[in-house]
Amino acid sequence: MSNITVDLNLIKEIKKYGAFDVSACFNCGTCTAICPLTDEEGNFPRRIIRYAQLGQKEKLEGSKELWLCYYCGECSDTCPREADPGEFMMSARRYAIASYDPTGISKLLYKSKLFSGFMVALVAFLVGLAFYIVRGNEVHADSLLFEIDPAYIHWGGYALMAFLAIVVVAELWKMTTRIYKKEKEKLEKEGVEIDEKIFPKLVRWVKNAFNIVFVEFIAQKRYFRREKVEEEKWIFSKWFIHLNIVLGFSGLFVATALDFFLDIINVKKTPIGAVPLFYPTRLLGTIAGLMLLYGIILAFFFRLKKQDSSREHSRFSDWFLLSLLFGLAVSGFILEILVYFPLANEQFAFWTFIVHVVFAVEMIIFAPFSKLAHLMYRTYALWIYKNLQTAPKKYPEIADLIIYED
Amino acid sequence: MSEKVKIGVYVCHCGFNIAEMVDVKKVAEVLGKEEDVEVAKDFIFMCSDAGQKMIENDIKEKGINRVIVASCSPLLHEKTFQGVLERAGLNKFLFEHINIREQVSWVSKNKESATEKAIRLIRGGIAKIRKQQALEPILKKVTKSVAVIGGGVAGLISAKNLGEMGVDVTLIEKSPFIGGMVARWDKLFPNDENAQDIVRKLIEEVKDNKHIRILTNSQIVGGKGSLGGYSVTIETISRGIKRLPENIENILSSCPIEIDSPESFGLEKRKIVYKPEYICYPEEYAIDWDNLSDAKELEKYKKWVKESNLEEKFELEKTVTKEEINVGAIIFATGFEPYEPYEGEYGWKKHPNVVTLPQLIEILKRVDKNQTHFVYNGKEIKSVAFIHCVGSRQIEGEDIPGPDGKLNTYCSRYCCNATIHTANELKKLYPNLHVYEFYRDIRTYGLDDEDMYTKASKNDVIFLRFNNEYKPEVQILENEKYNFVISVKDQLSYYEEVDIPADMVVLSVGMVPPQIDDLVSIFTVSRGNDGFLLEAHPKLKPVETSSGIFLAGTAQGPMNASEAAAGATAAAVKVAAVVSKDELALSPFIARVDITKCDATGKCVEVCEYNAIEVTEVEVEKGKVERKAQVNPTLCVGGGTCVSACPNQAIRIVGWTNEQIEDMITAMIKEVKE
Repeated sequence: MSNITVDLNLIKEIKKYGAFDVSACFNCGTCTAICPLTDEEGNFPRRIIRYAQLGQKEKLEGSKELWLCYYCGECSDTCPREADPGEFMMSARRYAIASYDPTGISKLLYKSKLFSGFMVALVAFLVGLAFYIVRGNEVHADSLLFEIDPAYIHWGGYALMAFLAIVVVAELWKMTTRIYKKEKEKLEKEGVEIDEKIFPKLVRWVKNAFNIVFVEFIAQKRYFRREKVEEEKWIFSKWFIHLNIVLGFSGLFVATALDFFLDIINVKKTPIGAVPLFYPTRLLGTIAGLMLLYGIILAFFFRLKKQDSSREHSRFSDWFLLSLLFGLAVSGFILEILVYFPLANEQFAFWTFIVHVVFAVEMIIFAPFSKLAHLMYRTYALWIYKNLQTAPKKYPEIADLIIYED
Repeated sequence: MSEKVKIGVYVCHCGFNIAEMVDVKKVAEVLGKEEDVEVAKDFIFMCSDAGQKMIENDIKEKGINRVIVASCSPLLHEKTFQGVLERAGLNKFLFEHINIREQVSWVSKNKESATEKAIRLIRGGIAKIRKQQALEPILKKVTKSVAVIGGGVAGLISAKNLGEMGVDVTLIEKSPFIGGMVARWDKLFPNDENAQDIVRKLIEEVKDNKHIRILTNSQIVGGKGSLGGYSVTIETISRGIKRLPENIENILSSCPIEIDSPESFGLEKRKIVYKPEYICYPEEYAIDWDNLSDAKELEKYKKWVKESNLEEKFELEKTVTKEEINVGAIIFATGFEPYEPYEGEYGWKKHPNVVTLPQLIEILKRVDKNQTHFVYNGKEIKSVAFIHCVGSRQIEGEDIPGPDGKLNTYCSRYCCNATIHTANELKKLYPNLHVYEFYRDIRTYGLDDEDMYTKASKNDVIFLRFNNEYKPEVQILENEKYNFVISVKDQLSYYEEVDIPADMVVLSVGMVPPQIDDLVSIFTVSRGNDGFLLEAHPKLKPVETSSGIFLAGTAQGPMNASEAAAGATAAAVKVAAVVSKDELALSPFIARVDITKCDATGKCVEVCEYNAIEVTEVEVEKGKVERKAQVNPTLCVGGGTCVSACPNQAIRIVGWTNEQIEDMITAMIKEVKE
C-alpha cells in the first residue's frame, strides 16, 4: 500500500461547507470516546477529521461514518478545543454530497445562495410555464382542478424522473466504489478475510435491507436514545421531531405514489373529483401531512432558538430543506381544505394547486443535490454498514499482526 | 567531668505513628532501668509545647544533663529539641536524637521486634551520649561578596538582585561579551517579549550598579574554601584591541581569517576580530583568541596585522592576567548549550536546508520582512517541517548516544513551546506556508503556552505524531519540486505511513550541559546523571548545594527564560541570606588530629573529598617544627573517611570517637530481656 500524501486544500474546501473551527482539533480522541456510535466498524469523528486535516479525499468520501452520524452534538459539547466535531461531520457530509454529484449542481447550491435562489425561481417559472402552455390563461369556473390534461405533465415528469434517476445512480455508484475501496484496503491491512458464497451473501443482504427499513428508517432507532428523549420530554425530543418529518414525508410520498399507481391501473379516476376523506390513500396523506407539519414547525422553532449545539449553526441548506417541506405541507393542506369546501374560490384553489405542484417539483428536483439526499445516502450507508458488520470474518493469527505500541 | 551523668530518655508516640507499632510504654520502662538513666518517659507528642516543657522542667528540676529524644527523623526536630536544651541552660550538643519513626515504626510489621529494635537503638544513643562532651559551634567569618559565573540572563539577574541589596558582586563571563543565549533570540514565548529589550535592560542595570564588577574574557582557574569564605583565582584574557581603528569595517574586510560564527549558530562566517550583531556588553570589538589557538592560524593573523600596519591597534598575542578574589559564596549560572545533532540525524549536515531551531530564529531575523514569500538559500520555501525532541528524551536501544556515550533521557522542556511559537511566527509572516510538526508528545505546560498550541492548530499547522521507535525519515530529493520528503508512521492516522514534502527541515534541539568539568572539579559540585548541576534538595533547597555554591538558571537543567530568571532570583536571595551574616556557626562534629600520634603519612589527605586536610609544618613544641596533618575546620564536614584511613589512629571525629562507637555497638547487641 502506498504512503499517504498530504493535501492541505481539502480542509479549506470543507470549511466552505461549515466547520469553521475544525482546524483546532488536536486529535485527542475525546469525541470518539463520547460518541454513542463508535464501535469496531466505525470510528467517529476523529478519524474523519484526520482525513480532512491530511487531505485524504478518497478516504473521507469513502467513509460510511459520515452518514451514520445523526449529530447528537455530544462530541461538540465535550471537545476540549471547541473544534465542534459534530458540525464538522455535517460539513463533511455536505462536502460529500457535493463531491458524489457529477453535475456540480450540489456544489453550487451549497456554496451560493444566489444560485440557490435562482434555481428555485427557475423551477417555479418552468412549472408555471408548463401550466400556461397546457391551460393558456383560462382560469375560470369550469377549469376544475382535476380537468388538467395530465398527459403533458406526466410526460414531463417521466423525463425529469429519468434525469434524476441517472444522477442518483451515478451518485450512489461513486459513493459505493469509494466505500468499498476503503473497506477493502482496511480488511487487507488487518489481514481479515471474508469467505462467503454468493447465495448466503444475498440472503444476508436482503435480511439486512429489511432490518434497515424497519429499524433504522421507520423506527429511527439509532436516533433514539432513552436518556436524551427523557431529558427533553419525548414529544419535543430530536428523535420524535425527526421521526415525524421522516414518516410524514414518506407517508405523503407513498400516498401520492399510490394515487398515481391506482390511477394508472384505473382503480381510481382522478378527474371525478374529490375522493372521500376516509379513502385509504387520502387518510394516509392527511395523517402524514399532519406529522410532517408538526415535525417541521418544531424543527424550525428549535433551530431558531438554537436549542443545543447541534442546532446552533443552521446553514442555508438546512433552512432550504425545511422551507421546501413547510411550503409543501402547508400548500397541500390548504388544497385539501379547498377540495372539501365546495364554496371555495376556484381561482384561489387553482393557484394553490400550482404552488403545491411547484413545491413538489422543487422538492423532487433538488432531492439528489440538497440535504434531502441524506435520506438516500444514509439508508444506503446503513445497509452497507450492516452488511460489513454481519459479514463472516476470518481474523489472522495474532502472531501475523504487526502490533505498534501506542 | 566531675558532674555525675544523668540521662533523660523521652519516647514519643507521634500520635499513632510510633505507638501503633512500638510499645512505647515498655520502651520507657526498660530504658528507665539503664545505668545513668535518671528519667525515662513517653508522651503523645514530644515536639508539642507540653512535651518540650516536660523536658525543660526535668533538666532544671531533676538535674538532667544528657537528653535523648526517640521520635521522628532528626531532620524534622533535632533543632527543636536542641532549642529546649539551650532554653534550659544546657549545652545543645549534649543531645541525641533517635529516629524510631522512619527507621522503626513506619518500616516494621511486627510490634514485638519493632519494640526491640527501638530499645536497641536508644541504648546505642545512651551509650554514645554518656561520653559526650559539651561543644561549641565553630564560628566562621563571612566574606561579604559574591562571585557569579556566567553572564547570561540568569547570571545577570542574580548579579542585579545582589547588587540592589548592596552586596559586592564579581560577574565572570568566559566569552568577550555579556548577554548569553537569550541575547541571541528574537521574540520570546508565549507573549512575544523582545529578547533584545530584556537583555538590554538587564545589562544597563548591571553595568550601572556600582556594586557589580563585570569581568569578560575571564574564567575561574582555581579556588578553595567553603560556605562563607572562598578564595578564587580568575584568569582574564585581553580583548586584543589596543585602539580601535576608525575604519574598522574596511580593515576587517581584508582580514584573511574567517570562521563559522558561533554567534549565528554556524549559519554565517565572521572575521576573527568581531562584535556580535545582537545586544551585548561591552559593545567593543574583541579578538577571538579561542579560534587562534592553532599556531598556523595565529601566524596568519600576525602576518595580516603586520602587513596592514595594525600593530598599534591590535595585539599580536593574547595577554593573560591573574587575580585572586575572596568571596562568601559563588553562583553557578553556567547555562546550557544547544544539542548538536550527529551527522545524518534527520539529514543534519547532509543538506543546507536542514537547520536547528536556533538557526531558524537567526534566519528569520535576517529575512526581508517585506517579502510575501519565505526565501532561503535563493529558493522559495513552501513547506517547513519541524521535528521535535531532537537530542531529548532519548531511549536506550532506540537512540544513538552522544560523544560522551550518554543518552539525554530528559525532556528539554523549552523546545515544544519555542517550536510552536516559531511555527506561529512563520504562519504570521507567510500565511500560505505549509508548516508541519513531527512530535512525540506536546508539552506546552506554562500558563499561556497551551493557547499558543491551540493557535498553531487553528493556523492549520499540521501535527504528526511519531513513536520514538519509528522516527520520521528525512529523504533528500534531487532536482524535484521539494527538497525533502519526510515519511512517518503517524500515530494520529492510525500508524499509516504519511509522506510530507518539505523545503526546510527544522530540528528542535534540546539543551545539553556545557563543558564545565574544570569548574565542577575545583569546587566539587554534584552533577546529576544528565550532567546538569544538582541541587541539595529539589523542593527544600532548590538552588543550593551542600557547600557555598548556589545554582541559577539552566546550569541546573533545561528551563525557559522565565524559569531561569526565577531560579536566578532565588539563588540571589539565598546567597544574600549567607553574606548578610557576619559569622556562620558551623557544626563542631569535625575531624581533629592528635599530633602526638600523627606521622604525616598523608593518607587522610588522599581520601578527603572536601580537601579539608593538609600536611603542613606545625610547631609541636616550642621551637620544634614538624610536618603534621592539619584540618581546616571550615571545610571539614565530619565525613570520617580520614579516621579509617589513618594507620596511626591519629584522627578522630569530635562527638564520634572510637570509644563512643565501640560503646554503642556493645549496647546495641546486648540482649533485650523482659
